[in-house]
Amino acid sequence: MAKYSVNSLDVTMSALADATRRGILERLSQDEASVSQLAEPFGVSLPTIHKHLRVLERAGFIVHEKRGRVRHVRLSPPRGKKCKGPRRINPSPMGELKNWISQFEAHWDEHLHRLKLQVESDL
Amino acid sequence: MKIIKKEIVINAPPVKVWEHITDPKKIAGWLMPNDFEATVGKEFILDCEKQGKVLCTVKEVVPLQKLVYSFQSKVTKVETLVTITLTKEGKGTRLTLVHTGWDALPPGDQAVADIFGGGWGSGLEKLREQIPATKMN
Repeated sequence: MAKYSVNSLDVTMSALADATRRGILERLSQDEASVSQLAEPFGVSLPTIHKHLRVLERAGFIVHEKRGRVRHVRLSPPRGKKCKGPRRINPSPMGELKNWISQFEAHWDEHLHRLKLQVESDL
Repeated sequence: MKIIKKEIVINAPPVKVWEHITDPKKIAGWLMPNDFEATVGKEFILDCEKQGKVLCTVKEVVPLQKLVYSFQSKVTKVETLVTITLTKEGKGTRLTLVHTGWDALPPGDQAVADIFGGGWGSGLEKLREQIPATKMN
């Protein structure tokens, strides 16, 4: 099983634990947008949107680019696809979620096996 | 199905298995340190080192048959549901564990699944499909 950082998973999960941020990701899945275009449908102030964008960017979901005075935001490209260089070490946020869930898979097997041994040795 | 399902046959009667899944000291032996109590509504903590402390709530108790508790990491805010059922099988017990509620990631919002479907080409839906229902025995 791939190793992952719990801290970085925390960042991923808390980034998703907010309806506005999920809305932003949904919007960006259609097309890139400027910060003010993003702020409009959510009826929130620019500073608030900036705050959400920082959280999403830190979690690796989005990237931004400044063109003139306007900041454009889009979803991060899937990692590893375009880079020919050394394989990137950081798993994508989704990869981490997947790992997290597979950890449960593996853990339950392990725990239940231990339970079986424990009960059967207690007869 | 968005579930994790595990089955195991234990060569002991349900009453014995029940003891091991409801006595906190015995739970600690196979799962993790805890302050479990088989009372509906009771909150307890599972202390898993890697995921931090998991806050659980007992949802249903049918002695010798069924145990349901919610499972929520303080950090991740995801609440999932663990259902353990015991059925007599010959001289032994079939234990079925079903871990559901991954679609509560994020809570009650399917939008993210769509996002990942479009944005990364590997959505939560796909992720869930990758979780097969597996059997141990």
